Amino acid sequence: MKATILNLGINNIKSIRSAMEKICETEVVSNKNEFTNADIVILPGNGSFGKGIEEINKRGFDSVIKDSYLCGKKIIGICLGLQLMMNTSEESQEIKGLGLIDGIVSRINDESLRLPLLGWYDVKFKDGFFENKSYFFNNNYAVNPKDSRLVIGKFNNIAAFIKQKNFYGFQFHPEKSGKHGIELLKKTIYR
Amino acid sequence: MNKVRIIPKLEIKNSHLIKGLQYEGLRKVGDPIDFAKKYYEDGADQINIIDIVSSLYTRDNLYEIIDKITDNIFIPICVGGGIKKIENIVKLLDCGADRVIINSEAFRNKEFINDIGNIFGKQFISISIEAKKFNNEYYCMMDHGRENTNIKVNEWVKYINKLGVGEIIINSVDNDGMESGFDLSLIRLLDNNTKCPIVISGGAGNFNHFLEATKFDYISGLSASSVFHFNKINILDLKKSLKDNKVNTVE
Repeated sequence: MKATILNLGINNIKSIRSAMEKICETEVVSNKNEFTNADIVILPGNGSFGKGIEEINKRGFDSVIKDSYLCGKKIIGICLGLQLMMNTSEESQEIKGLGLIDGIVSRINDESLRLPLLGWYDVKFKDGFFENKSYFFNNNYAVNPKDSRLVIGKFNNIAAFIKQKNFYGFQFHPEKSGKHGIELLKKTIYR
Repeated sequence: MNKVRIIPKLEIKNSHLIKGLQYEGLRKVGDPIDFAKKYYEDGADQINIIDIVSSLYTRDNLYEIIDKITDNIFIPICVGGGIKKIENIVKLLDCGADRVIINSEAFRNKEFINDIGNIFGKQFISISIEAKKFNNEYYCMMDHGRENTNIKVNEWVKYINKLGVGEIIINSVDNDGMESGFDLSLIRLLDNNTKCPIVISGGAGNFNHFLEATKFDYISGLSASSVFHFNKINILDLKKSLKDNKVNTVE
């Protein structure tokens, strides 16, 4: 099993690499030419939406992601890596997302919270999909897929985990959520 | 809903973990890699690392330390000290940082916060404030407490709050290393006008100091160094005792 992390140059790249190396063979690629074969593709987190899309296009990753998704390869998106799959984002309104998931990314609006989300929040998963626990979040924006059935995990009313076919998207950072975060990544990879 | 994070702060000089009193009289404590590992195992919710020299000559030491620390630590690592350019940040991310902490450069270059935000997102930035009291007013210091910006803390907080950063870390220079408790009048200064998460730092010496700071419901993180470095309180015990006192901690 080999996981390939697509490095956009703005991600917490060492952190995701260290976490993945605990689980399976891992490689980091910085452009399309370095991408050969992968069993699993990881879109790592951190970064603004506009800059993320710019880097994806510049590095030729748009076709890598689209082809991998369409041929049924497992893709894991973390934080920004999830948001980039949507049509658009309120963070960078003039920029088009990858559009592989129908819906938008919008600014979190929750009066009960200090924002941005920064810290550990309880996630509830449908039907015991994953363990209900606290995971580490750091975001101002969150995804709103048109088909709300895609949302499998939530914190309050915020989408925390999305699954669409072979795509798994975490709004939080499992690689930064302690030992149970690594467990969750492992379960996702060997699922 | 707000879970209070327990955040050990590691101040680094050259390759050493150091600790001072009121940002002065620095003494060596040990190897930062060992301390970070212990804090992770003890259940810290985040680790803040500050390079207090941050000269060009010692910069590579910092990168190496962060790289070693983060091989086996899976909680957020926030790094600050001498960050002046986007390329400093890219390098830190390559070494294992997850977020950055900015103080001095936010005063020197007003565009810097927006520049970071445009690339990494505003949530990625923690603004650190080094507050020091002069004639009963708190002022923002920079360059690790060495220079007074002559800007009052409450004015700066208002300005930073509008920028919409990830969080504000407010350090009391006067209470640093004194283990006499967090500066409660400094905490009161922040009150509910702020919208982002607030972390308080400087002065914790015993369990009650942590507990009294949690009475302010807008505090989302408690940061301390000497009390952990000198093993006066273990993070595991601290979190358990806070929980027993009905504080919403991270489990």
